[in-house]
Amino acid sequence: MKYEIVELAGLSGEEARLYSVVPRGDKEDLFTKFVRKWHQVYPDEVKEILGRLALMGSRVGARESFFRHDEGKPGDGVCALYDRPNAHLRLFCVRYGAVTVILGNGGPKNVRAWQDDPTLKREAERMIAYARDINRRLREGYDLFWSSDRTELMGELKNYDDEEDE
Amino acid sequence: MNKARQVSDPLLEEILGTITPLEKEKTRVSMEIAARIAECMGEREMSKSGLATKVAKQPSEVTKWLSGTHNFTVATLVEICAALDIKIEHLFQSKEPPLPELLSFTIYASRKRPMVSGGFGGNSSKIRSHRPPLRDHSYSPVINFG
Repeated sequence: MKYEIVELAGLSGEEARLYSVVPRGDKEDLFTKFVRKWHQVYPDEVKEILGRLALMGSRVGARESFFRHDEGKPGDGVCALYDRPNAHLRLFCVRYGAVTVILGNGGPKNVRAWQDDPTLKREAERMIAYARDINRRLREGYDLFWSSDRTELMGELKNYDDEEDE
Repeated sequence: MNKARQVSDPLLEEILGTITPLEKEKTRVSMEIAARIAECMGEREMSKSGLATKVAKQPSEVTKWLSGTHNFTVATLVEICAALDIKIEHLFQSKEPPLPELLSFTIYASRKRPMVSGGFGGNSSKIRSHRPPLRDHSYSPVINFG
């Protein structure tokens, strides 16, 4: 998988770093795509999601209870931002403790399980695939690793050369 | 060692800019109450099921409380505090100062007459507050220069 992990400057803060993924060949990260796609359909919800994420970054951290867990494979960290029962949107992410979250994409949750909806299924499976690759790289520790205080991703955040695209 | 490239999309910035100080404060309080309840549960090694049993609710209700999105009633908070054996004010004791946009202030030129009085709320004031260190527990939201 070829991609770049980027830090979302407007959301990251002293309590948690918030990242997203730019797939190779794309111009923007998965989370920005999510916001761009849904902010006109569900403006209040998108605004609330952004507000909560910004507060996680700056003040309260990415606490376990702020997320729905076990959206992916056992132990891969794939989860969804907790959404109210009457909310429309589900946002997938990968959480590493209370200090790091990689935000993905998502979509409207008209069904109980993401497996039953084509859009959610695509986005959840994409997040699971990125989590698998990122976790493997972190485990191996050659080109992607944690900073000494274990709060920041370091190394080859972009795992391909631009020349490869040409 | 490379760090991640920082990105900032104008759309995200624009939407974040529409969040009013009051909306921000509501979200902060909800999330911090949830965090405080979770901390108290952790200190008492109490599970979601344990708290749910004590307040005669389903564990899914406790999950909602801890999500940082719940709009608590006073009655629910009283029940939770009784179950955790804490005072209700404990839930509102932030480890950090309130958001600076909501600070009120009075600046006195002399001891008799206030020179400036007002508060921070959206665009109502151009006076900027100095945010203290994040862990300063002694910080008071009201500033009087006598």
